[in-house]
Amino acid sequence: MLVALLWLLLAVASAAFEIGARRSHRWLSLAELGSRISSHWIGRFVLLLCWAFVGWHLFSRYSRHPL
Amino acid sequence: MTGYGWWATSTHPFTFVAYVAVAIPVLICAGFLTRRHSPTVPDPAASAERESALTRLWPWLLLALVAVALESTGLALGGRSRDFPTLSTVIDQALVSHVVRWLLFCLWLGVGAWFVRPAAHWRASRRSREAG
Repeated sequence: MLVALLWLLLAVASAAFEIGARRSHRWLSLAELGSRISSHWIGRFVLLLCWAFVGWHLFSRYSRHPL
Repeated sequence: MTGYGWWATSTHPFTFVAYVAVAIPVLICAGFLTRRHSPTVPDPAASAERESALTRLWPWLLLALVAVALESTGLALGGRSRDFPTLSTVIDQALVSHVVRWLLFCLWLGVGAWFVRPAAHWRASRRSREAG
């Protein structure tokens, strides 16, 4: 339960960092980071692979009977 | 897109149709991205900008470090532990609901569309330059 809350906290922190980045520009937003990574074909390829992996892992291989 | 998402998330997991439902948008995005030939413009300020970008990256590196530590500990404990679940195990709880699956699938498609957007935008601007 505690670790599940930690995961939730990480998701909230990510959202907060993203909002903070877009408002203050003190650090890179995820969109900026993605644009920088995808400026090279290797980066685009890696991002595509990560995106595809997430898609298959979440929507083709999810468990119907979680813990 | 939302209709496709609803259909795709109604397929049974670990079936051929479920894999194909995800493969279709992946192949479409891959097709767009492989056709993209972005021009390489030499920029003298590029290396300084890269250094500045690295120092502005620390919050994401910190979050990634914590996530990797949690995930590897969860996996080391078997991957399906109740006390130390991995990210997949936590997300599986939410994916039981079809509506949540569908919303997450739409979000996932949106991320894919974001990948493709610069490629389509760049090709459109190149076409307009060539035409003009």
